[in-house]
Amino acid sequence: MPDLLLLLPPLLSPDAWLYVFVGVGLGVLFGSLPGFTATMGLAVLTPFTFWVEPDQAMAMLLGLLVSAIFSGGVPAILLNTPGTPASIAMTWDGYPLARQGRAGLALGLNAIGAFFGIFLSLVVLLVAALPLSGLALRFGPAEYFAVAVFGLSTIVGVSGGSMLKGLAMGIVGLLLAVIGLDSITGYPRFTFGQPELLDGVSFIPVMVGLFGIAEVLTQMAGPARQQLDASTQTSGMLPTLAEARPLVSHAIRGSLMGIWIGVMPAAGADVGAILAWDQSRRFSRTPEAFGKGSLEGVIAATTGANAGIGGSLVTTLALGVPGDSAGAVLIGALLMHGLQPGPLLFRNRPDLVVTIVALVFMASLITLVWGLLGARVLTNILRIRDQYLWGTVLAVSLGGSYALNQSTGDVWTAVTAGILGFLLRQHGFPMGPLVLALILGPMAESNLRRALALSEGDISVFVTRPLSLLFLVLAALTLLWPLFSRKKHSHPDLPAATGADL
Amino acid sequence: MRGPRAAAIVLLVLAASVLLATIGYPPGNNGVPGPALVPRVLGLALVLVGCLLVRTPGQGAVPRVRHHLAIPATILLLLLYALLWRVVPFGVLTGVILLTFLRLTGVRWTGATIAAVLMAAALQTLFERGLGVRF
Repeated sequence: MPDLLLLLPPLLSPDAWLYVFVGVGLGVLFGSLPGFTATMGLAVLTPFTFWVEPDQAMAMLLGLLVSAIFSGGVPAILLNTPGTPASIAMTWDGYPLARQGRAGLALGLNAIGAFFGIFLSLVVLLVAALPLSGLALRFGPAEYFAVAVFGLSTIVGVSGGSMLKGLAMGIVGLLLAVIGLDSITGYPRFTFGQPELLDGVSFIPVMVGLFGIAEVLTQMAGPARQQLDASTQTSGMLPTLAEARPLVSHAIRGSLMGIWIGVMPAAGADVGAILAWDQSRRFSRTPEAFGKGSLEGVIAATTGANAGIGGSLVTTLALGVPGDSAGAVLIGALLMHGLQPGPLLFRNRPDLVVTIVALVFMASLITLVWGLLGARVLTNILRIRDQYLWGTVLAVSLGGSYALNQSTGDVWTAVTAGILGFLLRQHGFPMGPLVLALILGPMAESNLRRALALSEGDISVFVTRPLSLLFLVLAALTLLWPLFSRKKHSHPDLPAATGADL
Repeated sequence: MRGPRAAAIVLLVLAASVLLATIGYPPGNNGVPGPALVPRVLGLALVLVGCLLVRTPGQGAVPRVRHHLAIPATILLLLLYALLWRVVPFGVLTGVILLTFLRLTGVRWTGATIAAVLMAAALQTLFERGLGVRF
């Protein structure tokens, strides 16, 4: 386990608390409003973190991520509309509980469960850090290539409804990633004589376009948001001791399920929450109460969704493989600050890994306090008109894209990505695979060619090295996973997981 | 022709362009692939996926959507915003674009004007004073 004393500096830093607080505030906004996802918030915020230190950037981004996942449960409870896909399972018991006049208790359990789930997942992240850092010494180009292939194989998991469309978007993302000077030979590819393209396509404006601008246009095309009933009461947020006691085992089980699902790339928090809820029902003494306002169902759904954060950070940080679109954006932010997530990060910057753990803990603590004391504010956020938020997101997205390099080309990149992203989404093409491929493409290609150069063209290098073989086998299993999971996990009562952006 | 089929044809055209563009790329040596290998493999993969997508059944007409007139207008506004980015001062441009957008999406004149002015001023302050960005 890494040196736990490294947890202290961020915990004792007022600056860190301030940046986390800013991130949590933004996350509450993006998470509470149905349609405004955590990924969208991360994409819009990332360009602005360019001007601060990496630790401070992570404080804001992680604060946003943590609070957005938690806040997604608020409209799920009050409006029966999940704020983020991660809170789909919360609608099944949270909303019925609110309809029984116990909205306050549902909101309170959502906040407590979120903190509990995240806390357990951070313990797992800390425990996993040492063995993963040990792997770093054994990584060469062949292993990095295999890890990138493993990451790319998760495209099937983030493809939503159509694997074929997801694959198409993944290939387009990989093609975008080869634009610019070839990293090995320096040969310009697909630059069409444009000097601005020599460095490749700017990742941040593409991300802002796909998750900011395209999301706004998609929401404009979607149905109007349900309005909050003025009579909704949010008092009485804490359960009685008799109510709380049986919830502990469900909270632990939900958290473990969320962590396990979070560690697996491409199985997002929505899957974690749904499986946690389902498992809780199987082990419950009152399974008939599930779906009708069960407290056990509420706690399982919230712990399952939030515990996935720590779980997904394990793969995102340790392997550089984003577990979902939000993870991809986080990796993009780290790369923007010159930090390459992957095995070497655990070896070279153990302080950063521990700092990230501390920051997520701080974010979850602020979120807990906010969730218990700020229920009225949370319900008021639901009354903000969409149009004002859409306008703000559009202006901030374009301003942020420009501000990064003060380049008009980046503004055009964001606008183009936004318009194309919207048109593709309208026809069911998911954006997650494109972003995953854009991040992992350069890593895959450069390490493929380096490995072949070192082995003098012998392709068996990828299967004769154990770690490389392991990740290639994992990639194959991930590609085949949907064939098995459709048979094993298709429960008649459970809605399908969305595979949508968090 | 709608949905996947139209998109599939666009993807096939893209794949063909990629394959054609890599014709002049230098070859690899000593067993190490050159810069053309990966784009060519991706181009071929895109051909395969595109062909499979062509075979998938097309969707019917896209259902009438909310703000169906405001969406194309917003896309035009975004293009105009990018086009005039360095021509018109940022604060003024943002204010006008936001006002137009809010009106297009049904916000009343008073609310739209106040919101546009406040947001434009806030963004101008954030970018120029806070982050030192020069427009």
